[in-house]
Amino acid sequence: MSFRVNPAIVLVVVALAIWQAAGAGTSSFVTVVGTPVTVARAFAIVVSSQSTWVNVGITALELLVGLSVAIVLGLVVSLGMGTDGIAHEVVSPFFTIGNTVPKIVILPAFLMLFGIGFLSKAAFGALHGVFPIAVIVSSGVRRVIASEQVRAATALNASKRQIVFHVLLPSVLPYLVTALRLSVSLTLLGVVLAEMYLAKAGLGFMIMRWYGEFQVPKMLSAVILIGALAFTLDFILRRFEAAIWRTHGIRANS
Amino acid sequence: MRLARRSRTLTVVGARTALIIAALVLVEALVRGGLISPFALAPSSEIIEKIVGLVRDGTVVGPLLQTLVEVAITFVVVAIAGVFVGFCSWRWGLLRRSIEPLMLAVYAIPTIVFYPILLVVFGIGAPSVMAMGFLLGFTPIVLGVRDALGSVDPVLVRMATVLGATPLAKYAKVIFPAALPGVGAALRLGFSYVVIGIISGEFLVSTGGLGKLVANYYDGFQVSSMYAAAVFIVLLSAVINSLLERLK
Repeated sequence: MSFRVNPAIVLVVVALAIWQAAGAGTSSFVTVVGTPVTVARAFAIVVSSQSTWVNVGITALELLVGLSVAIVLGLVVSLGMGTDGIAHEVVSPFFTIGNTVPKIVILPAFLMLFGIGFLSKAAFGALHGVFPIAVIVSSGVRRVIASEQVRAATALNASKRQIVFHVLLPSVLPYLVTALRLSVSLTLLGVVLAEMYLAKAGLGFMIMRWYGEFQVPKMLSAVILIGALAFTLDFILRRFEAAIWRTHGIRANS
Repeated sequence: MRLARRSRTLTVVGARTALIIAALVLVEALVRGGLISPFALAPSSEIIEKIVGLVRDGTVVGPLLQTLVEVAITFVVVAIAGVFVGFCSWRWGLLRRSIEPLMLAVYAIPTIVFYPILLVVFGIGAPSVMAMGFLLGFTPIVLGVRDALGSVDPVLVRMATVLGATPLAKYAKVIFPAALPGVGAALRLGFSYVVIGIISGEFLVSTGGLGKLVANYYDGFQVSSMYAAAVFIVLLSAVINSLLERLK
């Protein structure tokens, strides 16, 4: 059996080793930030505290609610504008451009409209999550409508309803999964942003609180927790996405 | 045929304008009608008035200039670094295999969580804000440049070799020109990420810039000015992004 070293892991280990070795010196960076060992110790304390998991739960719930809203809104918009050429042309630029503007500047509006707390954080997450769904799924709908499947179904006298439920939705599924993966990471971004700005709970709140108290190793531990959450969700959805494109993807006819 | 296309364009532009006007009227009516408190939302007319005011009395000039300078410097640095690393990771497989999984992992994480780390390292101010813009812009540029180079048709390169092109000529005359559209797209995406990173950093913790302007109005309960500044920033970046989009 051949043994292959993953170079990415080597890179991480080397970087950690250099960081740890720098801790032997007295660089100001290390005295403030700590070393991998001190961060690991802080991480152990953070994950063994119950309040950490309460905050993780709050962030997860906000993510779930925000994502659900984003999916429903995104699907309504996509089916609405995807099935009509003109509507798509009229509305889609708003979503394409909306995806690239700094949405953080309207966070105060969400705080004023929904109050400081769960609702505004989930809503701000939904605001971030809705764009990839609207953009990707509507273009998927456009593509499927132009495909042979729909023409074949029409030729076979399928009703509009049958086309939507038996042709359109199953064929759009892979696009939805791709959009879902992006939407999950963007909804999480929106939720965490809102938590970092003005909140009383959640992982983003933990980061800013420990930043304010200058407890850098603990702050880094919270960053690691968010990273782990985001990475795990992305990893699972990537697998799922690859599988679904293999079995459901329409062969490109465009 | 041409006439039909023209009337279609007219319909589309007309419908878009109608949508925008409807949204403005809706906001105006919601606040004036008392359905939404004026402490939560400002009527459209007042927001527009304040935007004009912000520009006319020069309030927006200082923060705007600061943000533009930060964006410009950060974009130049991240473009050079991103294209260089993207090129290297396309050229050398070992480098690609070392950094790519890490970059993809970082891509999935909401990058803003690194901002407090930057604040600890660089202090509160422009350097942290610019570093945030760099972090956000770097990954899409590297991955985009590598993809652009990787998708150059190998037939073109073989053809150049057969025709006796030197390695240098192969890069300058074949590979780079063929990859240019993809690199342009990567830089465009990187640019809008830099803007998002910088304004987010300014908004969260900073000493100035457009993001800070909005945060200050929010802290001071100046509802209509806050909306005016936010709408100004969204419009500005939408205009810049669509201009860049047109450039291709």
